[in-house]
Amino acid sequence: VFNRNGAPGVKREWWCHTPSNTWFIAERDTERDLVLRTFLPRELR
Amino acid sequence: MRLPPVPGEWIDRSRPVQFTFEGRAAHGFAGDTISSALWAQGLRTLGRSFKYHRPRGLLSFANHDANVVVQQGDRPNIRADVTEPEPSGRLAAVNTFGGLQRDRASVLGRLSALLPVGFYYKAFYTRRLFPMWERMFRRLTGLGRVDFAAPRLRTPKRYAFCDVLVIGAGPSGLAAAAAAAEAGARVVVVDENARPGGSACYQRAGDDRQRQAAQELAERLEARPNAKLLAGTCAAGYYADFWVPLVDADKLTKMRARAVVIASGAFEQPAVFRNNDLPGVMLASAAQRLIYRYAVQPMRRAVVLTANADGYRAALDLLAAGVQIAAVVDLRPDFDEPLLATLRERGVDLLRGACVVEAMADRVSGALAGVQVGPVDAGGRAGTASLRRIECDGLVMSVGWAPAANLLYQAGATMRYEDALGQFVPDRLPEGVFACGRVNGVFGFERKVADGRRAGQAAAAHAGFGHAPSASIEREPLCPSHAWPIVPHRLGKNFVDFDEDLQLQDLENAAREGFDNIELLKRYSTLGMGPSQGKHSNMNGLRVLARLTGQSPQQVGTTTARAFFHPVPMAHLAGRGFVPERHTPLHAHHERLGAQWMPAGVWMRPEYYRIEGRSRQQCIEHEARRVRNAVGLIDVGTLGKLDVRGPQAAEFLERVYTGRYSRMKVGTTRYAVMCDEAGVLVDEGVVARLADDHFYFTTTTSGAAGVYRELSRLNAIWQLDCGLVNLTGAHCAVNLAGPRSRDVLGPLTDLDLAGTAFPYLAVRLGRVAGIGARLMRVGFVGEWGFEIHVAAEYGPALWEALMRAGQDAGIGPFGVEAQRLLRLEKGHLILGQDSDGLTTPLDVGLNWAVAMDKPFFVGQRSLKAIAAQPRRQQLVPFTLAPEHAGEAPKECNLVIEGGQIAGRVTSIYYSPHLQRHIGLAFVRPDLSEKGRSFSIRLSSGAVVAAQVSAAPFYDPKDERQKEAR
Repeated sequence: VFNRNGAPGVKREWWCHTPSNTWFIAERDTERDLVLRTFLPRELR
Repeated sequence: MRLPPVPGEWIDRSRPVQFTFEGRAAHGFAGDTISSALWAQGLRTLGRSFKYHRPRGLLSFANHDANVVVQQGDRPNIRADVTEPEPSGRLAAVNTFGGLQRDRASVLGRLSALLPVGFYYKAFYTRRLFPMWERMFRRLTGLGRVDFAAPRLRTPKRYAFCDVLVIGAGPSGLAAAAAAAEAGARVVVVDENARPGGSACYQRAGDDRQRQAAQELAERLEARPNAKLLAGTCAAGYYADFWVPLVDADKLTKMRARAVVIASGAFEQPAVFRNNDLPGVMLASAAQRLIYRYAVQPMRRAVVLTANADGYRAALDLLAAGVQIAAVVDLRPDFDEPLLATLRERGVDLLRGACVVEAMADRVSGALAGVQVGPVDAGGRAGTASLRRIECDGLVMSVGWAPAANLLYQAGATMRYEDALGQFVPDRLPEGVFACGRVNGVFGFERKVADGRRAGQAAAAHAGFGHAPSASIEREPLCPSHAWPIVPHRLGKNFVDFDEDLQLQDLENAAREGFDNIELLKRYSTLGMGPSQGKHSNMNGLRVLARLTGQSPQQVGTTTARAFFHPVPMAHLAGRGFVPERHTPLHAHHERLGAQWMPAGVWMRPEYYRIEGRSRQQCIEHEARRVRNAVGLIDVGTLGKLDVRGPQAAEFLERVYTGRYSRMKVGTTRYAVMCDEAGVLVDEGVVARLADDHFYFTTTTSGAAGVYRELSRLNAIWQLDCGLVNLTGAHCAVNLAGPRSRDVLGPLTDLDLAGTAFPYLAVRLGRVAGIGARLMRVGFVGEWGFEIHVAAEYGPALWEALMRAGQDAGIGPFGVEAQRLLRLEKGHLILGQDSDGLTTPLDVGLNWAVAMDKPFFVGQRSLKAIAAQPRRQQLVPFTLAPEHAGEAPKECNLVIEGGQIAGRVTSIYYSPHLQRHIGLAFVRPDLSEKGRSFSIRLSSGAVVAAQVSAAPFYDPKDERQKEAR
């Protein structure tokens, strides 16, 4: 349940914009501290 | 001595300022600093050093001069080199014993041999003696005195945005700002000094043209609508994505830019020789600032110690201020200096390849009286033979610069040591960050302006305005910094760090003791850890370590440059406690009824209603009794209230809650428990089915926002065909409970309230007092009761209608405490009070609410694993003996069995209906059997016996919620 890989690299993270309660996904390179892409969860399908 | 008016001076001679320093009258002008005013009066000893209490005067006079730090009333650590004296201000030097002139602690200077480098660490070894050393050092060293009774200051915070932020308003910064503004960018340029212009205003070489050019640049910039110049504002750090805190006297501004130009300049560095800290020995730029900003003659007869062109320029400035120059001492044996001829013409004596070996103090005043000058060999080593004494009352040093690169380091720039410049310069800059001017290794005025324009255009282009230039600026023709301006002396007192009184030998000893890495050396010796944070000691420390370890400065490297770059007042940093507080629509009604407020999550709820002349306990029991015997009304509008609609709404609830919902009949409600992925109980509430595709459900008060967010996330993953609406704030809810609740509600509604028509756990839509409402038969407090949900704006009308209708029945409000007592009598648990962050539904006897044979719910997999293991704890109801009197157990008192902790009390009340103490406790499973006794240790240490009982304590068969008449 809690097995998460924290090694630096490109991570897919779930973010919430609280004022509009909108969940979106950010692809973030934690090694270079860059946000590569953001998109809505329905695009995952 | 004050000079006749100097063009561009910062002082206003028409506005004199009177103040006192060390109890004696002092005066200056508006625009002066404390230091410049005192220096103009002829004072030379302005402060005492940190460790040895040596007399100190001006050193850098550049906003980081730790020699002169003063206290005014409850304000400690005022920097005298930049702070204006307040009219009638009473100032005193910090850290003296018996005053500045006769500091008794100055005897420590003679004992310095007994206080070796790393003394603190060495003193740690003997644990017995350490407290003594600590007490002594806490008394003898330090800075200002903190007044704990000082009033709390609050300063505002601002947010600001711009395209290009330029840090530093010297020639290159002003040129960069102008170029970026011309390209169309919104530009903000900040400078820590009170006025823009930077070095152009004081490094004049006796010529005013550069100052006029810089002033013109500043004026043209300020006239542009898209540029703003903020003087007296320090860029205190650099954070990710061009985020820079700007600190001025009154506030902190959080500036977000699209590109940043760092034109922060360079710090002039002192030479290291014996007694280089005597009052009268100062950096050349300090002397020039005294002359041109404050019109103060820095000395009468000066020796100039130099190794670059800036020293010659300073000599010309001194001559212009009427200072006699005894000699120019140049460390370099041969060089090509254009200004040399000018100085020669004016009859100045030049000593090449020579160095000041020692400064001599006047026996009476302790200030500088002369210097010993000796030759320097080709390797840069000073000889002590054939010394020549030169009388002087001032020594100005101009031997090199260190880039003010702190912000560049913080921004992630890599720096490279350039031998030809004797300086670190930016090697690779992060995208959108630009450097120009001295911090970029560019020194001449025209070249700085050109470098500034280049950086400004590049920054504007990065922010989307204009095009980046391709030209780059050639490096300096002459080296501005000497590689080894350091002279060892067998008697020491040749200071590398003036803040911390570190001598050359301290660094040598530290390196010899094995602390030969720059970060270790810093921590062991405290190099660069004083108030100026190494701004005039790190570079020399680095040079010393490089020579000791045979490395190049590049290999030694620099210590980490952390924010903040400059001390920031605590008031600027202290945030305001921002705790949002929500009120229900009935807040004013509770207030009128005498509510005693308590926080519940983000909400304020009535704990109980005060009655004149009754204790808290009596009020709570009175409210509880009214619910049991007549009828009570409680505001439950703080519960989370959610609507889920859609063809897959039931499927959604099946997944997020542990129970079964798809076969629920329309018009019924069900208790619901929510777990997280680890199987831990996270929320509970009631689910009501209003239609096949429409459910209305409640969450706990504190869980409302988090549950809504988490459920939104889950459905974003699952993409079920249903939508979630948060009605928490849109709905008001009350619980009308008590044996007479139907008598109150009946006349207000058309609904049939008979037990057969509106049974326990049913939900109905109807009107109450003409207001559209959702009504649920609930039993949390164990009486016949209705939870009535209406639109928030009708909440007050509903409350008033119910209170009016209930007058004859004896209705009254009840608060959270009475509700807690009533639910405990029914054995209901409260999440977060009777459970914690590890509690599963299985630990608290909620197995009946968990459908383990469903295909899926959140936490099911973990619960299956947990169910297979033995229980570690079990929540049990317990009672104390009815005759128990005196101290009662408190929540969180421990259950002790055989001397071991075997559980804890989670809830306990004295039940007025049962006439005894009742409670819930977590206990070991072997103690959980009904009838079993266990002991509870009270706060006083006494032990009381408790007995596992059966829940509910009150009305075990729920008779009171069934049709009895």
